[in-house]
Amino acid sequence: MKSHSVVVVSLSRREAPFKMSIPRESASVSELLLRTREGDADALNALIERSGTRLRNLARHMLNGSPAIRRWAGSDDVLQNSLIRLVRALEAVKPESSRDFFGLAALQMRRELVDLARHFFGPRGHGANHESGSDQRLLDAGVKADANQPDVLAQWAELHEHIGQLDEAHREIVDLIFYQGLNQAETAEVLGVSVRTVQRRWHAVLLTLNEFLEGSGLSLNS
Amino acid sequence: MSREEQLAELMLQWEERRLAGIATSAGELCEGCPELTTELARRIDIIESMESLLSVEQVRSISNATTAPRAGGPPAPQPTSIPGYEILDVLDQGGMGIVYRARQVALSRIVAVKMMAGAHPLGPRLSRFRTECRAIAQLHHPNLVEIFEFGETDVGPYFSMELVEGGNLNERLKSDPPGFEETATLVESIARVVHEVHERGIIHRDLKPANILLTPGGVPKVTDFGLAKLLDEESGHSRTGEVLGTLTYMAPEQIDPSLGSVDAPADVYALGAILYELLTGQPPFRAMTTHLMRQIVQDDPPAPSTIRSDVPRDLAAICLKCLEKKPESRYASALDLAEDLRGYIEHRPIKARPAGPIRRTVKVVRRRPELRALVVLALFALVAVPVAILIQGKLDEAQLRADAEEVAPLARDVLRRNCFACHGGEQSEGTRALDMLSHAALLDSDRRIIVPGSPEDSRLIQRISDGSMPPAELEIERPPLPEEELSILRRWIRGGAPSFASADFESSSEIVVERSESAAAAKAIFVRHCYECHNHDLVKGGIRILHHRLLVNVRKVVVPGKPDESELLQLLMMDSEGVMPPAPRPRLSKDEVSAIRRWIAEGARPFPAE
Repeated sequence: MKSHSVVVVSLSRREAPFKMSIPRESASVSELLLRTREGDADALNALIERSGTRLRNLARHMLNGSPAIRRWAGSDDVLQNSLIRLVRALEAVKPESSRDFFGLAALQMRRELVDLARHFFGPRGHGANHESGSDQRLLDAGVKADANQPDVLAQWAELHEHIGQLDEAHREIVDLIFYQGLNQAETAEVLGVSVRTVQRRWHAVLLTLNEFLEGSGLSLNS
Repeated sequence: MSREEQLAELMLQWEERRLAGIATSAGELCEGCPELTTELARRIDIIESMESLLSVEQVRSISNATTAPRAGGPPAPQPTSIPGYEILDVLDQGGMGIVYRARQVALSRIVAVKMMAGAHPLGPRLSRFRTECRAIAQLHHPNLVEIFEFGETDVGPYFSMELVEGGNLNERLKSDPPGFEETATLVESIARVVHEVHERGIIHRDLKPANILLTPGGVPKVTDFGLAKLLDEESGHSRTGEVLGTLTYMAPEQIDPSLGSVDAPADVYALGAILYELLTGQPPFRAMTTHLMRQIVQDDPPAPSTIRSDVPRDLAAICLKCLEKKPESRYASALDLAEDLRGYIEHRPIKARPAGPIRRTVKVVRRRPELRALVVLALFALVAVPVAILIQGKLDEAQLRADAEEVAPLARDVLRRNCFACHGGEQSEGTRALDMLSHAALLDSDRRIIVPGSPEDSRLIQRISDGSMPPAELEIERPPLPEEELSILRRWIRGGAPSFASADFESSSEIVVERSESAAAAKAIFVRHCYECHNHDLVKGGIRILHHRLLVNVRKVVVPGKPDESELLQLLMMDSEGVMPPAPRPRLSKDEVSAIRRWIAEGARPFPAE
């Protein structure tokens, strides 16, 4: 995805007069969904912010497994760019239902995570080309580049792409639980199905993803 | 029930117990069907390891999910003891760790001890953290919360620091906001200590009223210097929540790294934002997160006097100089800011708002009342200045004025052509933050966009001259101003920037758009499928689908000539990942998607007006 650069223009004042009316820490997803359905723009913003937080957590989780990233000091900036793109993408459209919102958010997050993984792995990735052998602090900490280490990030990218190809019912479950960090009850509420249905699909899709990882020889969970 | 159905049912039973916090083995669940035990155990193992891999914790409540570290991450440390300290109670607890009130046994003094959550002792940045801790610890300053000791326990590193018990600036703002003089003094003190720490190569990056503690006597003390970001990097905690939550005081370059590196000017910006809030009672920008980020990067803050009319103009100017978008346009150092605040307190001219001869004289007289008689004499002498010189001056001034009035319509056209599309171009978008054709807005003395008589001091000319306006992103449509156009603006300003003639802008300088068939086709499709959700009349309607400039230049969801890089097309595509228009609306046909693709491929020309 093309990187968004910032255009220095003044935007309409119509977009400005929002008030911090949401106690974001305490508002549950259910409450935010309800308020979003009632047209509360603040609640939608809180959901967008929530997705941003989740993206950051997932990206860090993914990148933390890679020695290449730990030796590249600028990863935080790249993450920040991803976050800003996600927020802008979510802000730019107005899905009609919470299900649409989460679906779109998960799609954007999947793209950002794949982009992040691609950004760093491979012979042209920043991580691969960054020479850190002279960084005494990192050497002190025992962080060393290992050319033979399986390319964890490439595997993550494959996994994200595979998730994008799952059938819709299963992909939606992964979107909500994995990408959005919803619990089973919230997932059931968004999809309008029972918690047991969510659990059944979640178990099934995890078994499927495990098969994919094993079948592809990927070693993420080894 | 088939074997597979049996296993699925057993998995549900296991899930139910797991969510209730009851550890259950496959053997217990398979008492009546031992042949399934091995397979059930395998599946449970897969589910748990996959959830761990995917950073998913089903048992955790969602309210924790937004703030907690990744799955499997360390919980907040709960030390039973810290060597040398007797824990008294918890002062504060947050994502970064816990702050205790404690007694330092050896010295029998009460201190604050901050335990850091999840900082691994072998982490790559801990040595840097120690170095900076030591640097701060060596710096003894009355406006800095002193760090006494740094150490490590088995649950993580900690440091002890001076206990400051008069609350913080955020609380003071709400309960008893300081007056203008006190505000200037407070921020001056903070700026001076921030400069001291900058001199040691440390940038705070997270200055905000809550990080300015106050002694019971009201002395400000800066805390958490250089710690937040390092802690974040070390612990792997999500900083996003905090980045988003404390954006208010964050410099544009911290939000958008492409604007430059985060250095001392970022702290100067934060000091300006704190000053702004002390002066007006509100931060420079107030909006929900997603809008706030854009405002900080793009918009000028409202002049403080528009929020509170009695804000001294010098303080307002100092504040706005700190809040300049470009780091190099702010004060060169926190010390320069402190000096300007000192200038305000002592009625001296300030750098942020150079004084003319009269204002300078008034300031000198206010500072030194004994000079009043002398000044009266000088003024008398001024009256006696030779008439010829005066007349000559008047003639020059009149000539400049006449020239300015002559070029005023041309200046208006230059503004119209180069600036109006972004700053006030479309009536349908409602009131603009800055209308480039509003004479009053341009001459607003706090904004200094136009300083009549002085092109050099006018931000409009400065920004055009340094190439930052029109912004590079708009280069296709808004190229840099040619020198002759810039010269017209200079002549107009030098002669006092007289008001534009009463010409009708809308009728006199319509922008002519060459008709494009592909644009017309795209427009028709957008109207048919998207306009109901994304139209001009929706106040909160997200992107306006027929707003060409927003699509192409601002949001960049359309990249002219590159359909495959255009997010809009990806959203509309018929294949698996397309999501627009959302159900139950019908998706676009293949022909319609092709038409949009063609429009983008041909350069995404502007939509025809009809």
